Amino acid sequence: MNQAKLIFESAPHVHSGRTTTGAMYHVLIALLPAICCAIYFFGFPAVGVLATSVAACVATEWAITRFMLGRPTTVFDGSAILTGVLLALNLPSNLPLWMVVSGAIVAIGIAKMAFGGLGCNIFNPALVGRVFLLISFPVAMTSWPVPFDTDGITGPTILGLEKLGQLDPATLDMTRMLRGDIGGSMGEVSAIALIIGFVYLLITKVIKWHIPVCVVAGLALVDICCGWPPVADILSGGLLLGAIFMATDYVSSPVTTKGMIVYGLAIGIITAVIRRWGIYPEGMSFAILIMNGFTPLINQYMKPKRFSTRRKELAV
Amino acid sequence: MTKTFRIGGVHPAPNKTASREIELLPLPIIAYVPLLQHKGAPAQAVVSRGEHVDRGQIIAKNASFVSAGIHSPITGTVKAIEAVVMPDGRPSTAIVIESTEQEHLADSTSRSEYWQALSNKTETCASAGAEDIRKSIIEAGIVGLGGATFPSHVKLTIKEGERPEVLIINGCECEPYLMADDVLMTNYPSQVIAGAELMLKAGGIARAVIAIEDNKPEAIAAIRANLGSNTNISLQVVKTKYPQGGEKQLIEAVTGRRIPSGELPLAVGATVNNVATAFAIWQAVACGQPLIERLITVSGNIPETERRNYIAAIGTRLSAIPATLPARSRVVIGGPMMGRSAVTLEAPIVKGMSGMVVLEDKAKRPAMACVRCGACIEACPMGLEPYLISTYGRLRMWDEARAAGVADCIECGSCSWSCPSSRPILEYISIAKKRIKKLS
Repeated sequence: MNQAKLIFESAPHVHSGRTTTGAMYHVLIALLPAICCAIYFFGFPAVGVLATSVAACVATEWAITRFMLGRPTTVFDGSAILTGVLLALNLPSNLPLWMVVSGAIVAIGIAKMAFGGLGCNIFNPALVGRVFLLISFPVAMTSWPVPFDTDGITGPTILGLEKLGQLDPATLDMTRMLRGDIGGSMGEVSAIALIIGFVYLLITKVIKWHIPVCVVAGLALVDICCGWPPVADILSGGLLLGAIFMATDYVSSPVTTKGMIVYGLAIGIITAVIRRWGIYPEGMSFAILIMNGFTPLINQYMKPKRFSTRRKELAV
Repeated sequence: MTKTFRIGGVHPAPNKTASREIELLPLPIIAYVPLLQHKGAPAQAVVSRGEHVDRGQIIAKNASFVSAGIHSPITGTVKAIEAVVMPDGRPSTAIVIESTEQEHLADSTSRSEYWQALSNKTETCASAGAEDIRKSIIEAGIVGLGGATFPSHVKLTIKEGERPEVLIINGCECEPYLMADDVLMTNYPSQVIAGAELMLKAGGIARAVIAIEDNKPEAIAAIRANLGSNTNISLQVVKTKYPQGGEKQLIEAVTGRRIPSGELPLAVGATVNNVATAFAIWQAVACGQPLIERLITVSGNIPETERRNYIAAIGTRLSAIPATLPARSRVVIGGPMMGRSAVTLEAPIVKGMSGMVVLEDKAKRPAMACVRCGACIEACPMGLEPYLISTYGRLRMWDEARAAGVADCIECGSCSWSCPSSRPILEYISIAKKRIKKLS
């Protein structure tokens, strides 16, 4: 045996090879179809919003780690980029860029870094950014550009029309809703693109199916009980974007399968309730943020089933 | 039907690429034989410096009931009784024996004759009584060879009313790289079965089940072919999933029963022994051979021709094993999931060592923040929440760790293996576990 430097390390000495950064980039890849649709439908302004959002998120995280925390920078772990992309996809493509920047600063600065950075935040940063913008700039955040339009015409979303009682169910075109040439935020319009991303995330085992499926099931449940057609509800208003990409955020969602089911169903039900009886036409962002707040409680009560029962329990 | 345990488990890359030939690792000229190669009290040396010993002669007697005797692996003279570092890093007193060239040659010849004759030797020793078998086991210094090294005679000395209903012979070998049990069952199936028979008789147990993971078709075929009309021993193929060979997991897979927290296998009427132990017991009873050699797998990031399965003498230094190490190596004693990395290559091969896996030490990925992805929960075969217990360990929250079930942890490493943030989950859990044991 030859001479070699022996390294002493504790077991296990092998690793699955999966990385958190890798998971972030898988999610970004899964978002590519939605990003492409956004650019295809809304043109150059969409590129501007995306680039601004990502740049502002990364810059905010870099500045905070560099100047305020004095830590090595964490911008290369992919999570700031992902927050930037998700925030952008939740915005209308004509939003003034300074608003995008302020949303990004709130998302990263307040929702993520103020809590301690990756892994410590309670609420989904991109959604906090979006809700901040929605509350601060309600008009700009709810005037949705019409797809393929270059003249700055805006129109209502399907849910917006429904809220105003102006929706004629006969005019609903499911093919268009699947394809995505309808009004709405950049990333939410094309159901097909989002579902392709979902399948990719399942194949790469980045997420489990429970949360997205339960969100849809929860919403459909309320719809069916109240006699509303569930399909249009599912295909509109960012439900799929939220269910697949936002509610499944590791940090702010429960850890066990049982917990994921409860969390997903609750998000779906709360979304349906807000959409019907709330003042906002859409409820996905609020529903996810509300359930983010319940995640620690769900983790506390939805424990995995242990292998061993204790003797005392057996005797009882 | 293939059975398995139900909670958690992972699928590390098997990497079982060593040659299936069994080769004899040359006997050492100087053997370093530690006195603590088992659970329990260290053996007491019965030879002194300058004394001549024969190969197989007892050189240390078991100090108490839970202890095991030690035999000389070579013929020679006791040079010293001194401290050595064991492969796992613990210190132990060892008897150092040196042989002359003639003694070495004579030993080598008789050893290869013994192993040549062994393949055709199929005595079942049906006449041996329970007491005789247990006596042979004590005299041969046999301990659990799966790594636990619990003295075998203790396990087979059974009080009335505590008799297990089933003896499980563990041939899962779920650790990556290791193949020693696989090639043992393939090459010596009838001897392993005969060993299981002897254990049944010694313990007065009614039936035995030999459990093998379904990625070992050769071993399964060999055992199946040799079981014949045997009615009290059966074969159970189990799913290839780590840690299938864990005692609790295997008992669940085979019997469907789960050991309650903090209890022994006996609580569910089972006892588990390794296939190599069964083989050693057969050698002791049928051939009068003490435990001075064992099968080890040498594998890992070394040239393919050096990845082999050896019959190696206890007391041979690791440095005597032919292996071209990478410049920065982790020399893992046992499998890479649970084995410890050796601190020195001067450490001797001991009874509990099932293999040596050389891994190139790559720059460690720095640990990232826990994102609570749930991978460790999914992986944990005990149904625990490793991320949480690990945090309790890190923050020294011992009571919380205890309430979270840290004592149930079998330290299989599935959590750390699966963690995408490369966090040292198991390290903190082990710290908490040791601390709690100390406190209570």
